[in-house]
Amino acid sequence: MSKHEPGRKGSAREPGVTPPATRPASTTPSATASSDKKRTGEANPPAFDPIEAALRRMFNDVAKEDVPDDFSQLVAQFARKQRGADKE
Amino acid sequence: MMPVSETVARGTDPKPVTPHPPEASQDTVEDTFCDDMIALIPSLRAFARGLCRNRDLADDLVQEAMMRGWAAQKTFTPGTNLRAWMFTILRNHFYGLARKKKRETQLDPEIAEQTLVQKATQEDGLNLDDVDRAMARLPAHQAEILWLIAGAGLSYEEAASVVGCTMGTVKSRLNRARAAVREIIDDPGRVELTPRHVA
Repeated sequence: MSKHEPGRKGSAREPGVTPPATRPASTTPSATASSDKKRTGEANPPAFDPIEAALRRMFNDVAKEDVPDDFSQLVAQFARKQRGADKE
Repeated sequence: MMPVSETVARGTDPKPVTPHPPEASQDTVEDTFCDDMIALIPSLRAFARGLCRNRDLADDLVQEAMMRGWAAQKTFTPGTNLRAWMFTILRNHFYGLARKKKRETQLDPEIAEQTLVQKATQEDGLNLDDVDRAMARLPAHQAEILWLIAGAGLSYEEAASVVGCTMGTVKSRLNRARAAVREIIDDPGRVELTPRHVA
């Protein structure tokens, strides 16, 4: 990762180094820190992060797809094994 | 058992795993395990798709992970996190396979065309395709953390469990991944990252 990485230790203390003015507020370290708090159970509402939102949507889009028939066969196989185990 | 088409909830988060009462019979526990695993299929497919970036390979990974999970169900503690457990099995299988075959997992443009949504998210102006391309350029260990936490919605603790590292490492990788994705999207030509390779 480059030295431009905002989360890198010490970068904020370097003289003349300021956060990029064009960076959206939602991706600043403080914004991601709010998002972090959500995951550690603190009360502050999470900041909106467009990257996370896009990834969540991409994940959900795949999860919403119809499950292929192959999986039905696999589940049926489990059921057969289960029945076989029950008989024993 | 219900057919998979009836039991797999489409487009919904997996139902929480129900803790089994102490008096539950072994048959009941096994039936519930199977039902819970079936309910996880959509999430498993999505997680696998993010790992290998190939629809068919992802489904093969999920099926193999389910078979392994089924075979190892006696080692699963009822009432604990089945999703993280299954994600771990899937991930281990994926990396084991990758190491074995020394296969490079690159984005196949044709498959990506079929599998990835290429619409701008109205609420933020980010193009999903841009985010996906950025993900493809991240190192695998950063991409998987971002996919687990931002995509699958796992907590830091769950992600740490799946990946087998500390929560501090998870946070560090997540921050680096976020920054890298943003940097790639903002200026795709400037960031010199190679397409993702499996370590």
